[in-house]
Amino acid sequence: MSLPRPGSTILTAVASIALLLPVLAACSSDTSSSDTGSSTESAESAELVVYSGRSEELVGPLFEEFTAATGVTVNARFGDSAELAAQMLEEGDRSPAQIYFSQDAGALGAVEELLATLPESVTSLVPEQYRATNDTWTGVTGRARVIAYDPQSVLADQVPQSVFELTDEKWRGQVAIAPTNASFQAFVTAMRVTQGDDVTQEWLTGLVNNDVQTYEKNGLILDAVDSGQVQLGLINHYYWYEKAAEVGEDNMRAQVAFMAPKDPGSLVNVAGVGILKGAAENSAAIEFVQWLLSPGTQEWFVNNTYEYPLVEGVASAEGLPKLGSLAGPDIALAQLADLPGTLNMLQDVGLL
Amino acid sequence: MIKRTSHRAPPLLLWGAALCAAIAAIPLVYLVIRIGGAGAADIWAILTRLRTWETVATSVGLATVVVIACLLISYPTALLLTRTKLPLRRLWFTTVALPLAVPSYVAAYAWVALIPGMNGFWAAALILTMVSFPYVLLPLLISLRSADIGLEQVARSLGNKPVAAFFATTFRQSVPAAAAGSLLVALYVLSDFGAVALLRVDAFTRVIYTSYRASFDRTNAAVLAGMLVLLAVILISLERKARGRSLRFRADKGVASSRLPKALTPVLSALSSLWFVAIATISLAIPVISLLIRLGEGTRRPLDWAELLGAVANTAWVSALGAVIAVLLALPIAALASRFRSRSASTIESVSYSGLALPGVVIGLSLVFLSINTVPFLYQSFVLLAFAYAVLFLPKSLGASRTALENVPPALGQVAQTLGYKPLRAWLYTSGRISWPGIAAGGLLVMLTAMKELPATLMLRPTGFDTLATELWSRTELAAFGAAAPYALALIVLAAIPSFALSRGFLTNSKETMVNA
Amino acid sequence: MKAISIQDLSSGYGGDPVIRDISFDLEEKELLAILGPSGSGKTTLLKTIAGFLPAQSGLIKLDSQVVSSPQKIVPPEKRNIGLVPQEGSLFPHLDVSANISFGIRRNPKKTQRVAELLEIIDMKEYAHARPQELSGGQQQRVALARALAPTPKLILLDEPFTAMDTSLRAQMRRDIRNILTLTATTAIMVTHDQEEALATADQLAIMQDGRLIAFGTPHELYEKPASKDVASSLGEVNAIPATVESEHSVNTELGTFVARIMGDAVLGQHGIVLVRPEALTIEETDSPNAKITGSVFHGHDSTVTVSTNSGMVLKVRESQQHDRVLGTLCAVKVLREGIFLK
Repeated sequence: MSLPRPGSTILTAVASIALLLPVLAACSSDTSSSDTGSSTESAESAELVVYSGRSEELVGPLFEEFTAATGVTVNARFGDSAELAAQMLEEGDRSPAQIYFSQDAGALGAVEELLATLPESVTSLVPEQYRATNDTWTGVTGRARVIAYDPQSVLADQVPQSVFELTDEKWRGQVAIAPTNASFQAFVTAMRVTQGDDVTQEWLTGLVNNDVQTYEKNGLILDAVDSGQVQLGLINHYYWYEKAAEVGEDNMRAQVAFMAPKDPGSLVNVAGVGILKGAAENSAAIEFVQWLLSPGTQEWFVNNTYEYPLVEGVASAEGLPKLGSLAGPDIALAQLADLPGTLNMLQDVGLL
Repeated sequence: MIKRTSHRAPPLLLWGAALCAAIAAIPLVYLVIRIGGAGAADIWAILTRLRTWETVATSVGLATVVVIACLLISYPTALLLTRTKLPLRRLWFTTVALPLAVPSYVAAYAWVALIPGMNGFWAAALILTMVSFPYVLLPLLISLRSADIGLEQVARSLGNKPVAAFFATTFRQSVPAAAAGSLLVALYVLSDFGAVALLRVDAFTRVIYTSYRASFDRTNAAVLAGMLVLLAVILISLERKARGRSLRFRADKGVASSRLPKALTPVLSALSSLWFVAIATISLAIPVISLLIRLGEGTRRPLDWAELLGAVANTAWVSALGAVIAVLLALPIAALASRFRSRSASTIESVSYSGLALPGVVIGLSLVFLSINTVPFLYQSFVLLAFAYAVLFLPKSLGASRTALENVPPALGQVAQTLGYKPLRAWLYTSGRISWPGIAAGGLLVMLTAMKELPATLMLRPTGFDTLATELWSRTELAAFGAAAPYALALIVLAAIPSFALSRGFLTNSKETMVNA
Repeated sequence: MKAISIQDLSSGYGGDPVIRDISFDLEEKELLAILGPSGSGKTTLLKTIAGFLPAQSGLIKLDSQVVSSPQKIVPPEKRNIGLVPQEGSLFPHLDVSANISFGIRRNPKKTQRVAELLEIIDMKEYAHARPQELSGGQQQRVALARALAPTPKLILLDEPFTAMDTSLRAQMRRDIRNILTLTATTAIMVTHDQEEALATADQLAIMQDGRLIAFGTPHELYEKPASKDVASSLGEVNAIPATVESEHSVNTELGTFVARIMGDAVLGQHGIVLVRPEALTIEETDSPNAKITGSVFHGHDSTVTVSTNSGMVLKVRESQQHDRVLGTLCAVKVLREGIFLK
């Protein structure tokens, strides 16, 4: 390693490099959004800052379509829904975010205080049970809880129809859940709301006593079922379709089944969107939300993510049971606000 | 001249170092503010929950096992490399640091992809050991290389068998180096989240992450993170005790001691080579092969080369800048700690280390909070992200710089002063110049680690700015593992460059060791 | 003009002073050796002269300019004082020429000067050698050349020969002395080796417990030590209880002999008389006053230890070979003048 001469030469060199780097990096980074940070809050900018808990792979193309259609550039920041929520809470009213597109309702609920009330033109598009009670956010697409099973060990008619069956002795060590995952937590909250805390706690304890297997994410549960590690797993429906599209449906060993209607296990959660208070008057923001709820975009979701459209008049993907038939437990999503209570319970039984 | 200049550090240096340490302690400030917001009852509830302590025990247990495993791997490896005529020695020398190029979450993912049932405490211990043992091996190599062999010979003359002589002398001398490396490994294991999550280990970080992700109540999470900081402080003081209060000393004079490498019998040669091959396989070959297999399995969306290369460039630039800032921040602290043993000097040094224990999410949020309230124009900028890396990884630069500076006798700087150089210039031209390789090594280490960083990057990066780690992450979120593989491989390849440079540095560095004392 | 003048200097590391009330002057071109055991404060004194430690009280003047006082301290880089530390401390990343020219980089005549110095230290062919390739003695010479390059007013040498083999040492001493004389440099050398001090110095200072207990030429201090401590710093000395017999003689167990009476002692005064081992001799006799208890062979001479009738132990230096048998009774005689001290 031959090294440069010391002294002022090095310091100058280092300083110049350090100053040049940001400039060079700004030029070399993604051309789609070359801005670095805090956008203006001007009402009529041709740019929209979106914090998206949905991944770039998934919704990136969607945003590009929006730009093509309206000319508004989307400055999208991708991250984990909950971490983005925490970040927005830290940022407070200085947050550069104008739109928050979340993977689940829980995260939206957590940042409600930062969100503006959505206009009638938006809220009229979505059924009440898929919106916030105070209309600060609205669902965009629906995600059903399903049970993935390994057909090599479990025949189609043996698949449990209710989550309460999962504490049965015959499923000892064969059931997979993801207790740190927001969807699972939402599902548990729903159970608490419809069945009561006692029943829920009893069920959870039953699972633990039945040697339930815990995983970090739904995708990993599906992988586990697919490779025969476990026989049953509680996940969101679209994971299966995603993986099938990735590796080919014929290569999928694991299959999914929907639980009985009204059973807590068939909860339909939503991915949703809200407008931050600072952008309440921003026409581009409102346009964005409307666009997400437009038939074209809803169909896009149906075809690309296999999620349920929430807007009337759009058909769900083929092969999926109708949203209406699913029903899920009788609750409005807004009732799923008591996440801390669920977390405490999960911690008490030792799942968290 | 005896080894110390005066017992009091010059005030400028003291304050300069204190300032840098304060900057490194920014996440701690944030934690204190947040914890201050938690009610006493809440804090008590958290501290008395059994589950919390179960996970702490798991994490501490994991860290202990990994440190022991790293030591068990590193000592024989270092001995074989420095003392014997190992076949293909140069080759192994240049590859010793490469496992550092593999992020823990990538290694875990690659193993799980290969062996689906792989999970649990011991799996995590194995994987974490294999990606972090170079942290112990590298300092050990330096220490053994420059150890005074004369002492061993004296011990043997006093009747000790070679092994006993080795333990009594060289081994003792290597303890500070091993302790420093072990500290890094322990802190790394404590703060790691990606690997333990994938391998389904109930580690303490999981509790912290859940707290942040699910409850949005940053106060509770801050209390938990505070516990992690306390653990780190305990570890740091343990390492300090192990390092001891002795300054460097070398009894031999004149030419750098020549060491005759021992020849190995054919059987030992074969076994040693096997040892190295095994290590290289487990730590490097298997993860890479697993990724290549996934890559081959194909993916729905074709690889966007522009996107991949863009991420490569971004990762390289921002981690390089982060490394430069880290080295500059750490230098005054290292200069102070290498010469002066006062209480203020060691406090300053300790403060700088504590951030290493914190999970990236804490660092990220702390900088979000502080930057948006103090320097909003820097929020979500390239520079701030580089700065975050510097804060996160400053201790790595600090350790390397301090060790390098400790090896330079103060007499050199004094002589330079008498020859007309002002104190700062005298230092730069002597200590600074001579320790440059060690300081640069620290910088490379920071750069390498910054490339792999994820949670803080996600939060602080400019919108639209992607590094290889964030691209990798967004693909694994979707279980699109096939699409993730090229990014994982690109990350390993990119990180292999500084790793390789680190290893090479050791090969060529021998000529510039101290002439005498 | 005095090259350096020190008045009532006290200095230390921040708390109590390590060295106190040091005063001496040194003329230009002189070599001063500061002799003392470890812990006597000689290195501290050196550092204070160099400017690395402040003066807590007292003054240091270089060429009549005050450079250290409680109010003021001129930094080392401005004092133009050269330093040769204990082990040379050559810059390992530079070759010999670069080392030597380190302090004169901006000087347009530096190449010449380096060549000059290489000549003086007789290492021309090593101009581009690396420090690691040199022996200890060579390194010290280069270190000296480096210190001399900027033509300093004063050079400080900290135990420069300690790290060397004995056989080399004598040669090195001569070489260094010659170089210093050749370049007409004033020098202060710190050492704990009395032989070295006596052989090389023009002036000698003896330190003990942070104080200067003697200052003068080697001869003066050796011949007329002001105290037993001073005397024993410079070599073995026998201190024999004695009584003043007359203006020029004392009475002791070994008989009466000539002694210089120091101070204002009166007849009959009790004290000690200092007699060097080489001033004693052993004779066969019928009236012995001592018994031989030991003998050490040095090659050029031997030291014989005797025990007198009263149990006092004396050392006698003999330049001739005698087979001294332990236990032999003998008479110890004083050959030369001793020094009587109260």
